[in-house]
Amino acid sequence: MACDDLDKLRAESPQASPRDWPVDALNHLASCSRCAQLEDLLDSEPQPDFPEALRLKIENSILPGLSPVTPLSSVATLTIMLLLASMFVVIAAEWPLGLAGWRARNSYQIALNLSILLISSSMLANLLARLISPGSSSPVLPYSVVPLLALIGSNSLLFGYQSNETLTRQTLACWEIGVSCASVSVPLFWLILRRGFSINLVGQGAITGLLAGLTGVMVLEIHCPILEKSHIVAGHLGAALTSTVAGASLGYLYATQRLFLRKR
Amino acid sequence: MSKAHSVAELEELMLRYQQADPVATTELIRQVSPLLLRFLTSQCGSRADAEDLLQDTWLQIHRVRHTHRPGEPVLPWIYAITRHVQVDGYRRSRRIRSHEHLMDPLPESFRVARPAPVVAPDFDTMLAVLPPSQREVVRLLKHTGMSLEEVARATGSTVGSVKLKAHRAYEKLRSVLGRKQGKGAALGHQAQGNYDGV
Repeated sequence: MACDDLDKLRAESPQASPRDWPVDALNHLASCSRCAQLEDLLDSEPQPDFPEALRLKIENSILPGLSPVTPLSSVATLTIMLLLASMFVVIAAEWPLGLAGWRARNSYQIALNLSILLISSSMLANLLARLISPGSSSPVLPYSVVPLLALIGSNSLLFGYQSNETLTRQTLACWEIGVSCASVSVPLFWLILRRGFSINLVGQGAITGLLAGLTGVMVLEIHCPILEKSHIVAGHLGAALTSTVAGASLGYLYATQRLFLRKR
Repeated sequence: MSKAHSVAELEELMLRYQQADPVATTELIRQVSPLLLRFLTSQCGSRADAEDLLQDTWLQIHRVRHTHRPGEPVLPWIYAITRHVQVDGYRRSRRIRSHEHLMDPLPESFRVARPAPVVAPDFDTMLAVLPPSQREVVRLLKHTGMSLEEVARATGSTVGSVKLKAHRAYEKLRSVLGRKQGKGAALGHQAQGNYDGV
């Protein structure tokens, strides 16, 4: 066993002591002074040098304002509430808009696209419910990219190009509907998540925006009868992308504003 | 608090803290504060700044204590808030520094010349050679008793990334130790030569 292998072993099982290591590792530790020194260093216990005055100061700042609090709802509960809010917006929007898109699509197209939308929305709602409690977060980037890529991929497979003079106007109209539905969803999501505390405001903004955007896409999938690839990607998924970017920007603005206000 | 702290005990204390039990709150502060202070000192380099940040951290923990869900590990939750406060503090001080004007340095005569103390490198001194992200991971893994997964949760990264940072940190520490050993050996030879000359 070489020094590098021992480093790997340490990295793989940080809580294991040399007693739990294989014989090879112990032999190496006995023969390599640098590894032995590193092991001693990593195993050294910190000195308890915490000032009593500081502890009292902290206690005095916290104990007077002590009052019972109700912990956040569980991840499952919040996930379901977010999905219900999303469904509420879809139903409320379809009521005046109609189901022309649902009728225009075949069952295969409906099944594939709605499955992707439902799975993505569930994943995003679950991530949002976790993000509002510190220390339970996951990397945000894959969650924000994968749903959009999956939808672009499925729509590219399912639909073809059809030239149409009014396509640009129709695409803009769909984009407006999608963004409007997303804008209506955001306050509902905020109501559900308002008790949380996010340490990644940009990530939370992006994910909230994307979930709201996917709500808009779902509305458009059911409402819009134009089965044209570029229209769906630009008008429907473009709305989701817009709300994601808007959410991330708002998160960034809020984070910097908060710092600025605290400084003053 | 030692490495062998009880996770269940911390969770119990946290639960009672949420129910406004002053004894549990005091105990939680007593157990966790030394760990946080060491973490903050190693991350920001100055003990005085670290003490200020620790107070900010506890105020933030108190403000958002309801966001800890019962049954979830307490230390990743606390460390995630601590990191957040630390990063905020860093950004704030950077903003303030950007508005400050540099003054001329003090004349040489006012400086107190102190000989550099010769001490064996301890954990903190050695950790200072690492980049902040690696330093953070090594400290969390070795002195808080958190698992790889808990450190990943606290730092908002993946288990794979934590392992990679730890591995790189060990490699670097080993190479630094090797250099120190080499320097020591060279100094030893030099001293031997001097004695031989005498």
